[in-house]
Amino acid sequence: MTLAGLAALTFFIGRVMPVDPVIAIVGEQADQETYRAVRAQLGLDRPLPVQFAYYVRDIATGNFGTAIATGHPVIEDIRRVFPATLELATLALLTGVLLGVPLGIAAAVWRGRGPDHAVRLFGLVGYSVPHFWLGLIALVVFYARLHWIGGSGRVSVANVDLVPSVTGMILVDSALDRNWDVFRDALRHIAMPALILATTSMAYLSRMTRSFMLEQLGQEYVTTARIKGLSGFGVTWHAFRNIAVPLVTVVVLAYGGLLDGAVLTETVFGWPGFGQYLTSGLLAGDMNVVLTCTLLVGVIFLALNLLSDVLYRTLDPRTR
Amino acid sequence: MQQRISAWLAAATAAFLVPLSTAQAKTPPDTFVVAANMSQMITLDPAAINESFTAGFMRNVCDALIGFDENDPSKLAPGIAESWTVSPDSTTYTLRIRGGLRFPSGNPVSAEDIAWSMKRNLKLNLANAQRLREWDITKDNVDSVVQVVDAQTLRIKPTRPWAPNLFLFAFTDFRVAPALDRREILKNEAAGDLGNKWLATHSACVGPFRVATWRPQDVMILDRNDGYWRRKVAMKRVVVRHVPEAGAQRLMLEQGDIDFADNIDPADFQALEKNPRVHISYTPSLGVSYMMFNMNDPRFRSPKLFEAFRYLFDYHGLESTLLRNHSIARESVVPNGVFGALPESYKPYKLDLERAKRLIAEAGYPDGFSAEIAVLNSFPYPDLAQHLQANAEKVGVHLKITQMIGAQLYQRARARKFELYMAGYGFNYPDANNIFLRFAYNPDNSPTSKDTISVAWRAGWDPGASFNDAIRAAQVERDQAKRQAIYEDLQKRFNATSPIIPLFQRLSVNAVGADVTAFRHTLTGDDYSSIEKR
Amino acid sequence: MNALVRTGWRSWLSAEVAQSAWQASAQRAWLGWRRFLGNPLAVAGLAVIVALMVVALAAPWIATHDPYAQDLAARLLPPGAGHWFGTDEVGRDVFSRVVYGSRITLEIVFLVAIIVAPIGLAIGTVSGYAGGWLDTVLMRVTDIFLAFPGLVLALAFVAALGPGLFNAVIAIALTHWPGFARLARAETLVVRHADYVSASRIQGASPMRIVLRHVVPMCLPSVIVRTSLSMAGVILTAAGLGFLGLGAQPPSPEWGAMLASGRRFLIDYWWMPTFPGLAILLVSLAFNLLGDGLRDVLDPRSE
Repeated sequence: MTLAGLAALTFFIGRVMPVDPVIAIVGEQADQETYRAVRAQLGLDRPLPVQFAYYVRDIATGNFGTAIATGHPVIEDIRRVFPATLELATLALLTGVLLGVPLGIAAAVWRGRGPDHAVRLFGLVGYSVPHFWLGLIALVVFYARLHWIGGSGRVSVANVDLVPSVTGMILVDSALDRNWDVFRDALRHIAMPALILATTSMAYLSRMTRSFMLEQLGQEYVTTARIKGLSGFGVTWHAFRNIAVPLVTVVVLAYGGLLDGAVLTETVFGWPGFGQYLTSGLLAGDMNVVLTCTLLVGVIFLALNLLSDVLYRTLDPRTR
Repeated sequence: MQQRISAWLAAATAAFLVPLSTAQAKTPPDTFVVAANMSQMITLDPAAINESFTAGFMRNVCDALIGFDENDPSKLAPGIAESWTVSPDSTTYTLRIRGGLRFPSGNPVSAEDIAWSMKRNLKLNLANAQRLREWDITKDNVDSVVQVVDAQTLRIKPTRPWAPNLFLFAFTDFRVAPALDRREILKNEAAGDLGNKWLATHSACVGPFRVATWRPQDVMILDRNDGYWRRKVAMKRVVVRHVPEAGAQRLMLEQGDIDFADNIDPADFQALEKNPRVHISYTPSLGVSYMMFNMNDPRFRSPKLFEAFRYLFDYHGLESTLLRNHSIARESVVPNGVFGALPESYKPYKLDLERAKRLIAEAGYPDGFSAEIAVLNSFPYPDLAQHLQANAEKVGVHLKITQMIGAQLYQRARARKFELYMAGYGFNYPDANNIFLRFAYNPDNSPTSKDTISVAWRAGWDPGASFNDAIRAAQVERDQAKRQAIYEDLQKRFNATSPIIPLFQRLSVNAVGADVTAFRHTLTGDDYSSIEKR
Repeated sequence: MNALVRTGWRSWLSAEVAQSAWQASAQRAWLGWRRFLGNPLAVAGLAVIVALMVVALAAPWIATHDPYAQDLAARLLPPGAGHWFGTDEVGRDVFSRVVYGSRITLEIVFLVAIIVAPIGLAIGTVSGYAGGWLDTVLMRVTDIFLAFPGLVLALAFVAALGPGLFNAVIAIALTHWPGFARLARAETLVVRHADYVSASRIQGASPMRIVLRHVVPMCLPSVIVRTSLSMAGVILTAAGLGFLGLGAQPPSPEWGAMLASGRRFLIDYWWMPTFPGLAILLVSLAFNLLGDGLRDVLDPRSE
């Protein structure tokens, strides 16, 4: 039922937009005849309810229309661009987990003291920084001045299409192909966008880890273990094992949040992914793209929420 | 515990960064690497390409029948048509197609392919069908207008006695009459679409390069066609990367990762001029910046008002600062370098607030007025609009700026739903006919007119019967000197009465790496066949 | 009151046993305030926000130039004595524009807050208290809105409504109210079974009265915290919209729009986008810190 509402909302947004997709195709200098011909071709001269009916019927049969900018079916385009975003988001999430969780633990263990404040501040800065601004600065400093990272795009020009595409994720494909040059090149290109995208999830995960850990560390068994002489590290490890389950569910939720950041990060870094596809579709008034992409994003969000719920219930014996 | 964590963090960071410092790649000597914003590239079908980047690019894949002289761009030169004759009464054009040409598929090129492509253009009725219709060649008369005499000869009999120099310009655009590989295209036809779907992503015409790969908004790879008729082509391959950020393009150029950046931002001109690894030059283009009033709004009827606004721009100041090397002041609607243009020295207007204020009062607004100006959201229009806004404020006119993207702005123009408007325009060939047809010719100013392509119609401006007639007369005037005189007169009348205010002519910026030793840039586009690298 | 005058307000506030309900509330607030002060980060956040308000109010006196005055001869000057933050591409003083931009930021934050918090609160409490089909319907609607990432939804709304500051505010508000509604509903669900609420109902109080007098005050602390934290996100979203050209229109000195127009100049004229970016970062961070601090004080359960 939520899905139906989603479809209706996205349709409404798409049709209300003042951008004219016909002009996006025929250009400013098209004469009246051309304009009308293309408009009829796109089916935009039918009344709105009829259009909605066609839209619903199309979706039900799996036909999401053709993108104006590429001339291909939107589904095909998404299949092409999604792996890029998947790769970026996954790497960003891994970074967020690998950096955020230990920071959260540290903050909990040294609560109220230096490390806690530092981690808190660091996390909050991560929440507060405009990603597009950070991305631009990173490009200027790390690419232009220091040459540490690769520039725009997923690989350098020389390595385009060099590695057979199995999963669509260049890091995975080049590892499977044992082409370590391409692997390193791809890593150089993905490092900065992933790191910047990770700042928000890092902040979020460090906070959640901290608050889960604090909850655990305040429990009786911890006090008991300490009295019995268990080392600081041992106690922390035990507490951590207990929060692993809720942490996993939180991580799943964080994954969805990365889609939000992907939109602007991909534009700055010229990353040919889903976020860029959606933005250019939105700005061009390409309704098929907008509707399908927003529908997809909504579905993904719902799915992740559901997954998180399910994981929590199955993995945590207390909630049974 | 603390030491352990910090040690771990340090190790992780080091492991992260160490593999990243590798040597930079330089581009291979026989490959030309371009970075461009390819987001507007929709289709490669010559019958449908209307967007300027795609068109300029595909000129290197599909030759036109007639080209321009490389040393004197105002003269026509042979293209796929190696010679042509015009009958004395200008009603019959006989073009001789170059012999021995082959398509990349190996099929020979004949006049039939060209005639077929023109008919295909009209039958598909996409964006470029109108480029034939504007010469009165339509679906109904094309069979009698375009005739195949033999495999090497094409005869064209236009329905009107156009001035020969003018009519031939039509064939300098590959989209009007490309040499398309009919057999190859029909092999890939789907459901009677004349190959439209297949040609959207493939190329099948005569030119220095052919399209080997195209992934939309990602990369395009062109491979050289061996034995190109015009010259020996040095580049074996051209790779175009999609880089939407102009700043990123500049960085890649400076690093040597690319040879040519298509979208250099004027903010970067000075830095690139000083950089020895980059060579940057500026050439005139057929693009202009302009603003206009909507005469459908009852407030905007007086020519004095239009004249007043011509004095609100500091043309010289803008040209030497904000628009330095990006545009030159051009106070006539016909750009420099176009046949019929007034001389470059023609600059009747400059910033004069006193005069503007007086004119506005004479137009009926002694206390000024308020209006909204719809502006294209890409450089330089927001800055130009703010410049106008600041000056207008000083003479009592309050302007509210609304920026929007092209598709949205042009929709408002077509619907005549704006008050003031500021954007750019790109003309198609260097003859004043094109300019006046688009910016002045308006025989039917009513809401139901079919000529909504005319900017004059969008501005609600009826130039009057004598103006429209003069444009029509110049089209068939065979004496070049007389044509020039007609156009010069029209330009002056335009400035005196039109709500459309020409402002600047855009320059095309060409930024290449220092390894590129030759690269020809023309009024209508870049010639990739001329590229040479060290 | 006499006790106050006689023994001084400090001892009144720290008295062991409160003599009246008013004193008890005041004591609670005072204790909360002292706890708040013990958190240096939160205090810093509050200080920045107060500074923002001061700057916004006193902009004409703090700014050194007219933020709209163009001077083509003085374009792209680096930070220096005449222009503390340098000048932009048409010669306007960046410092003055950042200062005046604070007004717009404050305007956005204020407008969104007064739209979103009451609406979210109203919908959430009504939904939670009423239950049944009303609850289901309202929550479905909320779910639909929550199913989108914030920026995407705001983008879509602004693209539909057209660019402009007011439309941006509406779009942002539309994307933020569901979170508040959810929060208020969750709190309501806990409260509605409380004894005093049942007692009230037995006494014949109307649902409206119960909601207003008992439920809403219980939700207030978390809503306040949420508001502060949300404002950080609102500022970022507004900047993001301005960055894409869909927010405040030129020549308005909105920070996100300044970032957008200055982005082209980042490499050689770094001051143009850097200072507005820092301003956004600082204010967003301040709201986050404040919200964090408030949560520690008002909602100790979440610690």
